[in-house]
Amino acid sequence: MALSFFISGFSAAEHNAEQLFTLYRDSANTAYLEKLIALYGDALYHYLARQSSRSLAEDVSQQCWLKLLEQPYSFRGNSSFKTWLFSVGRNCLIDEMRRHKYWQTELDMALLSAEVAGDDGSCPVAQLSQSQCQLKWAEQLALLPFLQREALMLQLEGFSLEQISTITGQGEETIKSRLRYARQALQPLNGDSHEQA
Amino acid sequence: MNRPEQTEQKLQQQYQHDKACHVLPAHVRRAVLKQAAGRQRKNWHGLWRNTQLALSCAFMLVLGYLLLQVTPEAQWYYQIALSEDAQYRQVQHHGVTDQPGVLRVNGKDSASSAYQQYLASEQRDKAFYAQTGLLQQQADQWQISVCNELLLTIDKQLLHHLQLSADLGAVERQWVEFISDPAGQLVAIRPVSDAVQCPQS
Repeated sequence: MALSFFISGFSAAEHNAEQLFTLYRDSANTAYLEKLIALYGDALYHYLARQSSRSLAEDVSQQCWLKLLEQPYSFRGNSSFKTWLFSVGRNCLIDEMRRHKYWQTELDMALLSAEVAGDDGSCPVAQLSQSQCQLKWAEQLALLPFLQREALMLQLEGFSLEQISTITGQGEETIKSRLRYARQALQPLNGDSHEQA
Repeated sequence: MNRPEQTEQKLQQQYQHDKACHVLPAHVRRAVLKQAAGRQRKNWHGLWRNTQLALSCAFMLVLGYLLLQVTPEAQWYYQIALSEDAQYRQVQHHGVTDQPGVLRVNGKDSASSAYQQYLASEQRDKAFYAQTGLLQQQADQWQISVCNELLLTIDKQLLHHLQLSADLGAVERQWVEFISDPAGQLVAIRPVSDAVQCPQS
């Protein structure tokens, strides 16, 4: 470990997330943290923003990364770093939502308009794809129940059923069921889109 | 490409588009990195403190080791105490003490060399003094009595330090010659075959 610590200072080789995390934990070199944030910061923020609001997502994102600074040994390598990060993010989000008394449908309805309107066009991709289809998709996604939307987003983010199960603390069958319902809810929209396309 | 796959692809595209519109705000990233940098500085402070602590401990260990090298062993001193007894003219108690005194116990080598010196001395009557007496070995001490003239008790601890008993067997009573140096310190005890005829008082 000591050797890797010294070598890491001179090596410009690419590391995976787990290696970056270990290097950061052992050296406290912010360059490694910066790389980790570059890897997963946006994905986590997107997940949190779609499950709550931008402001809450900002707060929770920051909390997640700060937890990594404060409790560097809380990641024990039982899962991938990304899975662990999203688990932490989800738990922080739920805690915050409970604190703010946002939960499930109330939150979804309250945030729907804000989220759709929140796409302010600052993103170049958003400027290019200001299609009705995308807006409809966002609206439809926001209308999904929290847990179904969560399962769908995590799967679209690339997590396996097992990893989603780890993040949410639910069995794989439950996750499958949520995914099925989520897809059914989005089916008409995708069907329309397909036909339009 | 069949319809479910197309649907899935469409879903994935829409997700990626949506994701691209929700990037972690720069100010959040900056805030996290700023805090991390602060902790990094604290870590260096901690490392420096730990280094100082380690160096101090190492210094103390080295110092302790060096002191151990120069600290003399516990000193024992030869003590001769006198007392009175109705049966003997003089009673001497030879023992050891850790209180500094005039006579220091130097161990077997010193006693042996003194004995060798005694053997080689031409004026041994002046420098050393040899007497013959009856040795009685007891549990905690030995006693040598020279008629009614002298009773000499020798502490077991002193015997251990001087190691004078090598030549003597486990016989409870035997005649011995014991030699004292000019300071009165015992330097040798050796068995003799001839008994002493005490004068009639």
